[in-house]
Amino acid sequence: LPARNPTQPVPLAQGLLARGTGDAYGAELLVRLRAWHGLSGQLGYTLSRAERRDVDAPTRLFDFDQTHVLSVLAAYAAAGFIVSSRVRLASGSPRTPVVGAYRDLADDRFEPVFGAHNGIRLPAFFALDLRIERVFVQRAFSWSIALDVSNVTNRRNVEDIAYRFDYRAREDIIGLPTLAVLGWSLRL
Amino acid sequence: MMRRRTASCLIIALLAGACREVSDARPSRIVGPQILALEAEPPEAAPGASVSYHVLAVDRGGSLEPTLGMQLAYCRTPKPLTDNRVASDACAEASEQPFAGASESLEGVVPSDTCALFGPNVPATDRPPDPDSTGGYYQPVRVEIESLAAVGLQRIRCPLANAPIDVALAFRDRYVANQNPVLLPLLATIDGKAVELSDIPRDRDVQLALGWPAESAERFVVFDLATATLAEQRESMRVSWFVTDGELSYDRTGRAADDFALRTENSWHSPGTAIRAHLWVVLRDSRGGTTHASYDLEVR
Repeated sequence: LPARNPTQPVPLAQGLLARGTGDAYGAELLVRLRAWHGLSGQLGYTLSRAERRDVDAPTRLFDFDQTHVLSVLAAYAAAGFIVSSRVRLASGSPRTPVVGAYRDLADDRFEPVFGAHNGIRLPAFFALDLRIERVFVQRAFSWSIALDVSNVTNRRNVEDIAYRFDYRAREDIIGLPTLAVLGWSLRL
Repeated sequence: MMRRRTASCLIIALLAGACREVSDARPSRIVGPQILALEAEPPEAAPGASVSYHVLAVDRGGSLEPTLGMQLAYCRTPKPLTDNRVASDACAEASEQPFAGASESLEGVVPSDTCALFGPNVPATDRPPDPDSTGGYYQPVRVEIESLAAVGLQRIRCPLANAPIDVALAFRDRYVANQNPVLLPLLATIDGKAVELSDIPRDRDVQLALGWPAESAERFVVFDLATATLAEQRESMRVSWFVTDGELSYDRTGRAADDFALRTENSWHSPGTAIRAHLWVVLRDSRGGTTHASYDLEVR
């Protein structure tokens, strides 16, 4: 894997070295229920770990490592209605913490002092989405109207971390709250 | 003019209301001890030259007394080229070659190998660091006052790298070393009428104007590596404003290099109670020259 050359000064044309290494391993489970009396669904679960080792650096988590990813889909169709749901649960993404700060007197701003690379994780992600759709079948076409409600439980999922200008305070950047969308579609 | 606030914005369009401030704190508001500036005289020096440093440290009660334990040190570890912070982790976390003292001004000697560590004079097999837009290289200087830490930059005079001999000679003859800018007295007005800083009415908008002489925005030559020629530039000027009470409209103001105005403006809303507020202004030119002034604002 390409990795930054940590030496200083850097030899010419050796800013990146092909000496980075990484490992990724895990297992996936997928269970699918075919349509049975109008009911269908699937369950998917992934357990994994991805690591990287930069040049002359300790092993760290990959930037997009997610230990657990669970997805459960369920749908029931009857009398022209389709009611479906989706549950998603996933480990939070790795982040590098800011453990201190000092002032850059040249540019008059604060610079962060970082902790262990990817040493913390965002909180776990969870979302329950629901959808109800009414389908109308005509001779040459069909149309439907659907109501989608995302994040039914209004979970405050943390998307990222924001720091104050001097890094003495931090806040979580929260994703979308419960969101309802009414839609109409036409199929020819 | 620029109001600088820290904001975090997510590019993902679906996230509503994701651009916002983290707390109401302002960079211009002094709520506790802080190091605001490092002034070097001369602001540009060759390896081995003596430099006198002055540290501006403040608190809500005013400028901090120099009797506090203060330590300056020249950083010895360059940062990786991929790190866009001002100094390396080693510099930020520890002091090397300290020239400690309990005086407001400290004398240091620019390390003799600074151009090899932080300038272009690396072995031919290595990639030198890039100069800034003014063609300058800088020696980081760590400043510590008790639990406070900061890093300033000392502009260093290094031999021109990768330049034809005739250009190098022309650069030697034409380049003028940086000088610290000069601040003119602060002017305060309310509704166009001059007001004394010792007699400011409560809960009013006070217009502040800060100027500098024309010669402070110096002209200098820069080696353009792409064309292998010398190009002339003019310094831009930036002012950082700090106050203990009341509210400033802008944390920072200034003039770009192609803006020939010799002053910058800000506005300060005085508190609703009688109080003595402290105001500091730090003027920086684009080649690292720094100067400051402090004022007491008496609100009656």
